[in-house]
Amino acid sequence: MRIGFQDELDELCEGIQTEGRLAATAVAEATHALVDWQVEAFESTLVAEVEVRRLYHETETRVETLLARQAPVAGDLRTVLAVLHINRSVERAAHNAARVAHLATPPPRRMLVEEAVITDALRAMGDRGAEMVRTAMDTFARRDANAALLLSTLDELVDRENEKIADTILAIDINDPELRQWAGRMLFAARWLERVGDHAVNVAERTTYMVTGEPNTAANQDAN
Amino acid sequence: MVEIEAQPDAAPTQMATRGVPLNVAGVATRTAPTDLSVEQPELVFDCREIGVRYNGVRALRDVNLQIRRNAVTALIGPSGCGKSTFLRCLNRMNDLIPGAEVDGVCLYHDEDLYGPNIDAIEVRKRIGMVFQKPNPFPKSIYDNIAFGPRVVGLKDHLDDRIEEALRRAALWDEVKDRLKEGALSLSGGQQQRLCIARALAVEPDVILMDEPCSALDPISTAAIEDLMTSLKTDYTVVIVTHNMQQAARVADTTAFFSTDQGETGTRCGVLIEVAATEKIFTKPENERTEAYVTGRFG
Repeated sequence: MRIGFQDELDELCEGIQTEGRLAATAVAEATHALVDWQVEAFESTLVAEVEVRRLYHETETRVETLLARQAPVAGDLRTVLAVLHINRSVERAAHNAARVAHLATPPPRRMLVEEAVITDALRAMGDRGAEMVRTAMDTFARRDANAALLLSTLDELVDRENEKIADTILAIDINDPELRQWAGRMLFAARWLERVGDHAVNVAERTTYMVTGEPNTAANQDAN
Repeated sequence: MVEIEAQPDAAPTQMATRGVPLNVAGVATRTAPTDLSVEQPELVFDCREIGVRYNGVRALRDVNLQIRRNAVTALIGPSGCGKSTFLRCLNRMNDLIPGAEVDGVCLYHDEDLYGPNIDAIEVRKRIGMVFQKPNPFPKSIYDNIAFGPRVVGLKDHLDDRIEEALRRAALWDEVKDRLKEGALSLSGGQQQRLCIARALAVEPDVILMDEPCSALDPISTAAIEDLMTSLKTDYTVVIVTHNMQQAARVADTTAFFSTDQGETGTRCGVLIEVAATEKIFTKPENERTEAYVTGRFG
């Protein structure tokens, strides 16, 4: 039994869990900042994102060291490779959360029905995105091979909200410059929140690969 | 069960070409493959239910393993799992161990290696072996390589044969100007390549290697591993190794051996899993293989 190696592997998995929890927090706080214009939530998002970025580099270094010194194979190798990919997805999710937080701005006063539709949809996307990141990390911890299926179902709900936002914005009288600016920012925010869902699906797909050894060729490879 | 005995009255044949029959009578028992659409390389060994006992105590049982041409097959497993014992079955080296008995069938090019008319000396010429520690004779580099061909009567063009063997063993450039120097003056890695050249000089079909790098430094190990890769173009290579990374680097197929409780309650070697090397080291089927290659057992 390679006790030292097992300890390193456990630390790697614990590290990525911490990173995942922080990314989920960043997404939730970013959504709060976006739709409720909370400065504290904006600051919390950025603090979490900076910490995720630090952990991202730490995890990458750990993976590099572990590969160099322990030469893992079989299930251990798949775990290390899964962590390497999940690390990237989690970091991207947190980075997208920071992008969302930076887009927070109150809507123009003349927005009525549309504002409610858009902010409700953004809140739903953000809450769902944060929940998806948490769920994905839980499935990784439990080594749940069926995780990808569950996360894909949740992702469809996020995609639907994203489409609703786009449809609503396209129907707005876009000649008003103030309105146009706000709508554009919300459209981008929706895009980044939609990507959070995709990253959570990636985490689940890598978990499935880790458990089964079957590569998931449908994995979402978008760099954002 | 076939009790192994040396066959002193079986005169060595003069057959040096690969793929010809091993039986002394020279009867062509091997049939050429007819289905050219088959993608798998030709079968060299087809081992069925191979087992070995030493003085009645079972050391290995029920090994079913096929070894194909122009590939490196690695045998891995913990100490005492029977991998070296199995390797020795492939060229009847167990014949030389008092009290050793082999059962099952070991077909070599469709011919029973343990059949009544098989000449064990011819077998070992065709299926050469390289051991854990380099064991050059205390003779010159030239005479080390020339020894085998002289013994089996391959005396024509001896210089060319020696150069060819040394070139194939990636040693020619290092020793071409000092062929008359003692082989023991070479480094450990060079000595091991010399032993490989010595095996190649009698034009074998298969090269068996029993932990050939365990006594070598990393540079010499890398040279031998490169050599294995180049040798498989012309030969079939079977290697026993304790170094799993070495198996991962050089082998096309890997067979994992372990131990089970034998008939009399003693531990006995068994073949657990054989598969393409990349599968063994990324997604083995058997939990025991996974536990071994990841270092959790053995």
